[in-house]
Parts: sequence; structure tokens; C-alpha cells
Amino acid sequence: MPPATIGLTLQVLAVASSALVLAAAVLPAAPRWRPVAPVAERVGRWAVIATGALVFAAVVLVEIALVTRDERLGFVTVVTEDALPTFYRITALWSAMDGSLLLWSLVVAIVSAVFVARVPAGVGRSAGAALPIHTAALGATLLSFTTISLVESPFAADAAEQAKPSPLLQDHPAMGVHPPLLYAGFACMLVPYILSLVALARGHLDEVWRRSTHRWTLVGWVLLTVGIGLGAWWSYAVLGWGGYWAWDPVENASLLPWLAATVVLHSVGPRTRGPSWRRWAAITAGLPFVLVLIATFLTRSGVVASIHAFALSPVGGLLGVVAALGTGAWLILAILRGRRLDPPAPSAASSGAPWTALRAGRIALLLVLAVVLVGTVAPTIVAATTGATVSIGPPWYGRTLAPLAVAVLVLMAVTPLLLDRRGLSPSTVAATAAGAAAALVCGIVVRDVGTVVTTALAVFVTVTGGRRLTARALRPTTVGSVVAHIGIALSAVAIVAGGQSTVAERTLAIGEAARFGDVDAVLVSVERVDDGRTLTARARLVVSTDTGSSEAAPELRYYPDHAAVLAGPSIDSRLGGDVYVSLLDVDPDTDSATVRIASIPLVPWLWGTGSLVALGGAICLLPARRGRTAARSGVEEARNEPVRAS
Amino acid sequence: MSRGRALTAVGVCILVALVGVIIALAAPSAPSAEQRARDVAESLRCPTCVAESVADSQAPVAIAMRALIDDRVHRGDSPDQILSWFRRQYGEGILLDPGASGIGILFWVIPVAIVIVAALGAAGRRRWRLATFLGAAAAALILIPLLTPGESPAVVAEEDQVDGIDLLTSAAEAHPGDLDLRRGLADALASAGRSDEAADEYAAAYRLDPGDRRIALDYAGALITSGRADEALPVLESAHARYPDDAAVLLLLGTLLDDRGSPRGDDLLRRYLELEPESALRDAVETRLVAPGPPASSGTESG
Repeated sequence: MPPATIGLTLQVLAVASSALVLAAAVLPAAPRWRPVAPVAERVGRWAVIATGALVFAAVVLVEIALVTRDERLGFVTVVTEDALPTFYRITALWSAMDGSLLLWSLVVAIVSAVFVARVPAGVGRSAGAALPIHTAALGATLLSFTTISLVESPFAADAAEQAKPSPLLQDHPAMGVHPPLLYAGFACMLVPYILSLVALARGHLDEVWRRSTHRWTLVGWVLLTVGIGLGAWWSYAVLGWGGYWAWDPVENASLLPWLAATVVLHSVGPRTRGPSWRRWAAITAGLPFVLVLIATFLTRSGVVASIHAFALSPVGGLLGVVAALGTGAWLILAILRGRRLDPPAPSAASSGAPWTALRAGRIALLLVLAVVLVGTVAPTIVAATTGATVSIGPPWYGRTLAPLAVAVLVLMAVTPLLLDRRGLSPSTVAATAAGAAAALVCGIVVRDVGTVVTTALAVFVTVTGGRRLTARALRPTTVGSVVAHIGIALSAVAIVAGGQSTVAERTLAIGEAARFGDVDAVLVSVERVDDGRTLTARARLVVSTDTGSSEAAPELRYYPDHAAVLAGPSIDSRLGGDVYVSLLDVDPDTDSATVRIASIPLVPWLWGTGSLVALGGAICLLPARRGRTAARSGVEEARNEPVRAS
Repeated sequence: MSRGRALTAVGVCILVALVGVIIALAAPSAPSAEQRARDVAESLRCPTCVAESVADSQAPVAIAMRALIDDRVHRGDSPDQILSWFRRQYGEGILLDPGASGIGILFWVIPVAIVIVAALGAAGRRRWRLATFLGAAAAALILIPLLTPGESPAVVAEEDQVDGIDLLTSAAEAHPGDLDLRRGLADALASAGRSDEAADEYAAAYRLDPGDRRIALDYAGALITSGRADEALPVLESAHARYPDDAAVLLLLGTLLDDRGSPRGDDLLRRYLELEPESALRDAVETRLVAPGPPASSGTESG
């Protein structure tokens, strides 16, 4: 049997199996079917796992065809070429729309199966009704994505349909793993979403609910952090424009769920639950996945123009329907039932500075989210309603987000201390002094307000965080959150300082020297190499800054088969920043080269501090040690959560 | 530490930090013309690209726009003037941060409205004054750029001369065996008119790769320019042996030999004319062939 037939059969079976999940959840609601409810529940669980297995088999089938270059599958000839190394053949699955939708349905199915396998029977049953909400929601989600992936199936791809995959995606290993990491992170948000629906519908949530929401959100958040970081690093190391974040709609689409997940973590975390945590938690838990649905629709339907977008396709409408249903269900439940999760009347212990600060922090993060959402969506809406073109780019985001980012950083610096209820301890005063000294030095040396403010806050966060790490019997969540917060604070410094870069562009003859902002450079040689697949122009320069001189060899690679040009910037990382040299043009007649040199402060730090953020999240996932620590943590939880007992 | 003392200490610290902020704010660093042009280019969308600013794009339109911006900055136009010129030419959509007029005003109002609504909604009745204050502060911060007047245009002349020779000398000293560096240094010396030193560097490069035609020619050229034509002869002879039909070598060697009255010079020059019948130097070479011996103005053209 040809692989296309097997694959389509697997996909049809996956659709049928997810329809069975939905049926098994919904049917017992009818009085006639009520007696079979226990059987239906078991059938539903197994059907979720079966769906996962079927989609997995389909993915394995495509991968085998890709690696062996089985030309019977149109998709294979579309996305691979003979010379492609095995690694990039494997990753070619997600280099086109149809394959990436299949991968997306796989991660959703895997998350669903793991979730179902871990949930005890009857957990999602709503009080009074026999409808297991979580199975119904899982079934609807699985049915949506298996259907979408069948409509745009890689097994039905026409070999002559598309151009070859962009060489951009075959140039750097980070590009291979960046999409699956993001997909996995997005898919993890499905569980908190379903738990949010369950909690809102039942009007009740408990410790099991909280732990489950916290854990799944945290796993997704770590995956998203790594995925976003790798994407930024790739963009910086490969594209040659000297930046790592362009505020492109698809980049924003990955940032929005990350921000929402951060809010969720600060609503259900062991230390961060305030007096009204139930309402916050139940509602915000659904937000990351709702944003994933909206973002998938916006970026995969071609509605919003983006460098990351694939070609327009018929699944756009379907994605729109799914996004509308998913968002609608959550929104309606949140509006109608959200109030039922109100805490008991606030007591004296439930108000106070720590909880106000925490709530302000969550609100500030939501504001950042709202601003990014407006910037991403509003230009499209404006164009559709008024016909006017408005562009929203980095200057707008920078101007609008800066005050909010400062608010987030200040609250992040102060709130942990308020939660410790230590008052103004000598160590806090010392940390303030360190921050102030940093501000003064920075003000004199760097003379940039943004850098002064972020540096002062980062020093404060690092010193107070370090102080918290000296405590005995630390819990992993404490260590993890301190590490992640230090990572965020230092990243903020690196991001703000990176904005102080100097960039210049010059055309140099061989032997000619020029000043590029802070950097002096001289062109040593120009050469051209043709290796059959690519035509490479390479320039050699000697660049010199205050901290010494070095060589740079930026390249410009031309892929004749794809009519695509790829920059190969030469990045010289030093402690204080990068000297980023890109070759823009080579004139073979005069042996001259046009070169762009940027001197970007502190960027190399960003990759390290970003890793700290992800590492912090991962540490929080470690199991807490039993014994003394557990007993202590129990006490701590009781102290931190005055209204938990209910 | 008592609470009062601690508060005082924190207060002093905050004052110190504020001094740092003020020093940074008072920084007299007027942006250079180049930085000014770049700031403008960063606020403009490249019309033919997706999600790229004029500053970052290599599209022909973006390159042309950058040239235009440079021009206007050097003429003394302020960033605002340049931006509004582009807006008139290309429409509102060219600005990456929409101006506060027309539909663009939405993008100034919406963030402020979001902040105020959130502040009012979140605080509840008891603390609404504080919340409004915080909301107003955040809103004001977002609006600050709208209220600050555009910077006064000031042209900063900056054509810093960079001594590439120094750079290359130290690089070549660090990597003595590097042919490219030697050659680059020699080229730089030659174009600076320091042909004597250039000849020495070419000599080093020539030792590294005697077979390279360009090095041999440049070496000989530098030797001739610095009055050491005799030393150039063996270099050219060996180049001629390696590339017997190379026009530039024929011309140079032929001229040198002709200057010295050698009949072989004529043969080489004739061969040169056969190879390059369209040569711009044809007349000069023919004159030389007709009149025996060196003419008054002996050519040392290096081809």
C-alpha cells in the first residue's frame, strides 16, 4: 500500500477516535444514556490515548518517508532536496504548513494522553451534571486539530505545489528545534485551559487542581522560554540585521502565551496565591491557550502579514472557527461563573501590602500583554474596517512598554521581600545601597536613563535574591523562582543596554579603513567561492575597538536554486558586548565590499541570562525533599495563605 | 537597626539613585549625524518588506531611503521634519510608530486607556485615589514623547580619519605569515603614497607566495615608483616565465627593458600590442617602438 493511503487512513482514524472521545463525554448527559456513563468514561480515556497513538504513527510514517526520501509522497519532494543532511530532513516536517499542522496535532494529542492518564476517574465531573467537562473539552480540541490536519494533510500534498524549503531553515540547528519546543509549550497550555473550564463550570477548585495547573503551566512556560530564546538567538546569529526581536506578529504570538503563563504562575504558585487566588487562578489559567488559539488563527490563516507566515490556505476559516469557539467557551464561563469563585469576605489577614503588590504585578503583566495584543492585532483591524494602513513597529512597542516594564521590574524586586514579611531588614538596606551605587556609577559612565534604572533594579534583585538563597532547607520552588527572577532582571539590563548600539555602513576598497561608530575597521581581502549549491562571497576585515582588535570574516551566501541570499554575519563576542559585522555587498570589479558594523553592548549576556530564566523554571519542577523541608513548607504555606482552608 | 534608621538609610539610597538618573538625563551627548539618521531609519517601515525597518533592510528601496535620510540630516533637517516628509510621500503606514494624528492617534490613546481602565478597575473603591494616581503616572510616561519638542537640528561634522595602516600593521605583526594581511597593508601603504614601505610589505607577501600574479605586479609597481626599478626586473622576469602571455607583465617588463636599451623590450611590447590591440596605451607604446632608446617621459605605468 502506498504510504499516502496508509497515512490518510491513520489520520481519518484519528479523527474518528477523537470524535469518539467527544461522544463518550457528551452522550451520558442525555438521560437515556446515563446508565453507560462509567463505561463511556473509560472508552473516552482510551480513545484519547488511541488518538495520540494514531497521530504519532502518522508522524513516524512521514518522518520515515522524509529520511529515506520516499518520492511516492508528494510532501517529501516538496520539502526536501537530495543534498539535505539527515537532521534537516527530520526537521523538514515542520518547514511547511501541512507538516507543521500534523506536528501541532501530535503535541496536542500527546499532552491530552498524558493528562488523561494522570487524572483520576471522575475528577472533571461537574456537580449535578453527568458531563465530564475535561473529556468533552479534550475531545473537542482533538477533533478540531485532527480534522484541520486532515484537511491540510501532508499525505495529500501535491508534489508540484510549492517552492523548495527556504535555505534559511537549513542553516542553523537552533531552527530545527525552535518550532517543536514552542509547539510543545503551547500544547501544555491546553491542560490549564481545560482545568480552567472545569473550575469555572464547577465553581470550585482544590489543591489537586492547583498543583496540576501549576505544574502544566510551568512545564509549558519553561518550553516556551527555551523556544523563544532559541528563536531570538537564531535570528541574531543568522539573519545579519543585528537584532533578535523584530516585534513581528508571529514572534508576538509566542510572547503572548508566555506572558499569560507568567501571570498564571503568579496566581497559583505556592507563595504567590493571594486571598482571592481562586478567581484569579480559575480565569487566568485559560488565558494562555486562548491566546495560542487566537495566535494560531492570526498567523496561520494569512490574516496578519508576517515573515513567519506560510502561504494562504483553506484551513484559515477552520482555525478561525476553532479559535472563536475556544475563546467563546472560556470567556462566557469566566463572565457568568467567575464571581462564584470569590473568596470568603476578606479578613484582616487577606489584605495588606504583599497581596496588593502581587496583584499589581499580575495586572502590570496583563497590561503588557494587552499592549502587545493591540500592537499585533489592531493594524489588521484598522485596515479591515477603515482601509487605512498603520504600521506598528519597534519604536511603538519601546515607547509604550517601557513604563509598564519598569513597573513590572519594580514590583518583581519588591514583592518577594514583602512576602517574607521581614520588614526593612539590614540586608534589604544593604541591597538598596548596592542598587543606588550601581545607579550612580551607571549614570556617570553610561549616561542612559533606561540602563541606570534597570541596572539598579537588577543589582537589587540579585542581592536580595542571593540573600534568600542563603537560607537553610530551601525548597526547589524558592531556588527556582529566585534564579528566574535574577535572570529576568539581568536580561532587562542586557535588552536595554543593547538598545545603545552604534551601527554604521561603509563601502571599503581593499586596504581602506574607516570608523564605524565605536569601531575602526579595515578591509583586508574579498573572495568568492562557488561550491555548486551556494555561491559565497567572503570579506576579511580587521576590526578594532577600545578593548583590542580582532578579525572578522562575514559572508554573503547566495543559493541559486532558491534565488535566496543569506547573510553570514561575523560576531565577535566580548565581555562588554558584540562587534557584529555583516557583509552587505561585494563589487567584483573594484574589489570593494559594503560592510555594516554594529557594536552592541551586553548582547552575549542575554543568552546566558535567558538560560537562567528557563533554568529557574526547570528548578521549580524538581520534587521537594521529604522530611524537614516538607514540614517547613507546610508551615510556610499555611502562613502565606491565610484563607486556604475551605 | 531601628525602623526609623532603616527608612532613613533607604531614603538616602533612593536619593543617590536619583542623582544617578539625573546625571544620565543631563548627559550632553548630542547624537551624531549618523546616529540621528539611523534613528529616523529605524522609525520607518521598509515599503517592500515584511516586518523590517528601513534601517535593517537591504531592499533597494530601503537603501535609497537611507541615502535620502543621510542627505537631509546633513542638510540640517530635524528628525521630525524628515519623518513628516516621508509620511507625506508614502502615507501614514510608513511610520513604525504612528503619529498622533488621524487614525494613528488610536495607538496613542489605546495603551493609555488600557492602563487607566485597569488601574480604576483593579483598585476597588478604597484605594481608587492611589490607583488613579499610578494610572495617570503610567499614562503620562507613555505620552511623554508626544509632549517633548523635537530636537533642534544640529549638524555634527564627523569624518574621523582612521589610520588603517596602524591597524593592519599590528594585525600583520600578530600574524606574520598571513598573506591577505600583508597584501592589505601593502595596498594601504601604496595608496597612501608610501611606496618605499609598500614595496617592503609587497616583498614580504611575495616571499609568501611568489606565484601570485597580482602580488608580483604590485610589488614591481611599488619598486618602480620608489625608484628601485632594478630590483623590479627579476620579479617581473619570474612573473613572465610563469605567465608568458600576461599583458600587464609584458607591458611593464617590456618598458623596463626598453628603458635599458634591450631589444628584448621591443619584442615584449610588440607581443603586448598583439594581445591588447585595443589598449589605451597603444599610441605611447608604438611611439616607443619607433624611436629607439628611452623617450623623454619614460612610462612606468603598471597596467
